[in-house]
Amino acid sequence: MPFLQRQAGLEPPLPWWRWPLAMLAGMLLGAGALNYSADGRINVLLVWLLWAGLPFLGSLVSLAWLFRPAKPWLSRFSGQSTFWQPNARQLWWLLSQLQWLWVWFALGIVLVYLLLLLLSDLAFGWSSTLLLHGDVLAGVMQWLSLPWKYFWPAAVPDTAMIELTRFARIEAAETSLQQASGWWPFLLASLVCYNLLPRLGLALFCRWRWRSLQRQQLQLTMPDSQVSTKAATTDVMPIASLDQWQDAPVVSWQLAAANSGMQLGVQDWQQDQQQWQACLADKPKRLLWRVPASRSPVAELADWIQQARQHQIEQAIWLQTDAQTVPERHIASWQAFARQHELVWIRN
Amino acid sequence: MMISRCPQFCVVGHPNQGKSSIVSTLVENDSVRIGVESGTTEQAERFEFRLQDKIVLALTDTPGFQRARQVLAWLEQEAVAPADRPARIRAFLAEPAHQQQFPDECRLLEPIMAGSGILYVTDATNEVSRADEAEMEILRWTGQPRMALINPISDTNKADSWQATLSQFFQWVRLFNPMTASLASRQALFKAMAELTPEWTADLTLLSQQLAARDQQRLVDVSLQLAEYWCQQVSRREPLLKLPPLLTDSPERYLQQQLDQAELQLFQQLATQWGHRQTELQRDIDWELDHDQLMNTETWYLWGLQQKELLVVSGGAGMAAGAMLDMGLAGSSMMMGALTGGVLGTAGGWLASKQLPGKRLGWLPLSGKKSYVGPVKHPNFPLVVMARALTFTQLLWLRPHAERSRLALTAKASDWPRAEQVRLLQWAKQLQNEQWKARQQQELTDWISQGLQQRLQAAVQQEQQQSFL
Repeated sequence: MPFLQRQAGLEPPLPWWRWPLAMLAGMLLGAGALNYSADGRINVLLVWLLWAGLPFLGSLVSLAWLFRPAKPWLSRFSGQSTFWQPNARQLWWLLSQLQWLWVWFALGIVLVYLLLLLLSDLAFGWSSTLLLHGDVLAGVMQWLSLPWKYFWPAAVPDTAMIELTRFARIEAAETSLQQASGWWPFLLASLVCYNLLPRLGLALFCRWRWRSLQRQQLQLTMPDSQVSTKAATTDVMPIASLDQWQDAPVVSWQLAAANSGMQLGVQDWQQDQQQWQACLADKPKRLLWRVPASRSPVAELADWIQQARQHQIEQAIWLQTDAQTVPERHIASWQAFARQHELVWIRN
Repeated sequence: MMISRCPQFCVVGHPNQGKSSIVSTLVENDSVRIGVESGTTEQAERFEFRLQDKIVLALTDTPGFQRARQVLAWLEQEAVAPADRPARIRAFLAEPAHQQQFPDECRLLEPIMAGSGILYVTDATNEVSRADEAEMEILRWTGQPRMALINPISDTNKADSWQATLSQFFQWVRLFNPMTASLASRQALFKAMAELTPEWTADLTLLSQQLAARDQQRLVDVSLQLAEYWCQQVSRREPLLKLPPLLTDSPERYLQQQLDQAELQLFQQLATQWGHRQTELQRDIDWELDHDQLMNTETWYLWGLQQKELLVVSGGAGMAAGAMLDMGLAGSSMMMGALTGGVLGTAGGWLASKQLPGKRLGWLPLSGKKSYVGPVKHPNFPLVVMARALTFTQLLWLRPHAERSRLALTAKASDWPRAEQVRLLQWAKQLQNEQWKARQQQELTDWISQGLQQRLQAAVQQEQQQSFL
């Protein structure tokens, strides 16, 4: 996905087939490594190197890499441009995906190993030019077996088995199946402890790092956008001149300095209510509302206008502008109010 | 006094005082409905800031008081002691008829009485009226933490008298302009809100810190995005075979369209990421393409590979084939198969790359020619691309979310120091000559980050005195 089409900050997509491909690759490597030599033995040292030694080195390199992480090769499959650089969160996500890929790879090896253990005979042996006696190898095996020594003693090769399973091309070895296959627990434990578990640990660490960066993000939640239920007013507002309303009683709203007519909105509510009721009792035919442009209309005024309409009183609105009046804000508000309440608009 | 565990504030006041503008700017989202006419906000809406699944701030935008004097008259019908005033408010809310008679006041008082603090907003344009006093008195009766904001929408020559009045009703009074407020202004406001009650101090302080950390991360992210975008634009070239039928005769125009589209997509992407979903852009496009140098041709091999790629692919294929042989020999070949296969494959690829265009191996075409329009080699082009991108980013970064006008983009790279121009042109040349490495990418990203940071700091320093006192 080109960068311009993705939302930055989201993790880039990776192909779904990476997991089965990794597992398949592991199975192929596992099956390929268990090839018999011409002497009818599987060289356990070579297999250990391929399954545990090199992967463990790889895990150590990955661990060192995490201290100064850079864009991993996996990003090439994310559909991003050549120039794309991940941010910190995306980087840790990619690194965790990479480690999980290796986990699946190791699981592939484990799976095929277990299958072959079940369905075929695997005769292991070891061969070396430099190691003339098995004692050295036995010592090395003891060290390598430290992680599982106390949990799985059977997976620790003993000196006797080491001596009995040595083979050389020019010497015919006589070894029983039980002895030859005795290396399998050691290989399995090595596979788990030096290949699978380190990668799993790295994967979990990278994932934890990614999640912690995710959680540190400030998020805003807001209501779903709502469509206004107020119907658009398309009615034409009746307009009149002040001359046409000269005979109408004037009611000033929130105009403290008004000189004539009734004043509402500048005293207590009870006083206004008394004035208003008295005005209605006079049964005027028309009323002219004089309002300040720079103050917004409110429902308190709308309530009185509604009451007057119920008394069949025709009403008009006359805006008083001043230096603070902003036409697109103030006048527009009052015009919308006038349309809503069917008031005649007095043209200044 | 009932205080909610997490900081919550109701933004209240007279209609059309800029409450929604303040909410829009504080929550950094331009989808908060704002209108020049009063009555745009019809319902109370709640916005939450969350961190690690915890609410660190909630703001409720309200329609505003509509019948304040009536409500106050009802409250004052009975004489109550000051300590019992919150209970009187609750009694007001408990009256069944009031939900219909005073819907706006009920909507704004309910969250307040549930524990929200109060942000009272006024534009201080007119003298304090009886309705204004009634609103402030009602809010004082609630007994909740409260502060007032003077929003200088227009001339605030009455700000002093308003300040004196507001000080009698609110714990803090602040001037806050949502149309110009920077992050620093918002942080200062959050700090003042944090001091209203000790229960909220920690969360609001954390929010303020998180916003700063978020901005730092945003700077890193946008620098990466701009670096990627610039590299793509500078190295952009379009194969002539992919031109739309109508533009076959004018490949330059197609290239221009692609450049325009890429720029627009970047701008829209940034705007969406930063909460400016409603922002309209106004762009004057002026790419200098230097038409004489736009057309280019290069040779491809086999399935469209470049020579270097061909060597890698053929070497890899040879090595894979050799490795299969090694496996078949059960390791006795000591990996010589893979080694030999790799060498032979690479040699074969090199030989194939020396063939003339049009040569075939049976049905398989060995090599051919591919024509492109681009990349743009005009010396001004890299500067223009970067100047426009940086300017837009700066404008968008500093744009408050309450601002609803069109965002006009005009940019000039000629104001840059010569050393900066030369550096950028050197990078452009390396890109177009395919000498671009990760190190240069990082240098470019750092350069963009520093440049943006300087621009933003200068702009913020200029703004600070205007919007917040």
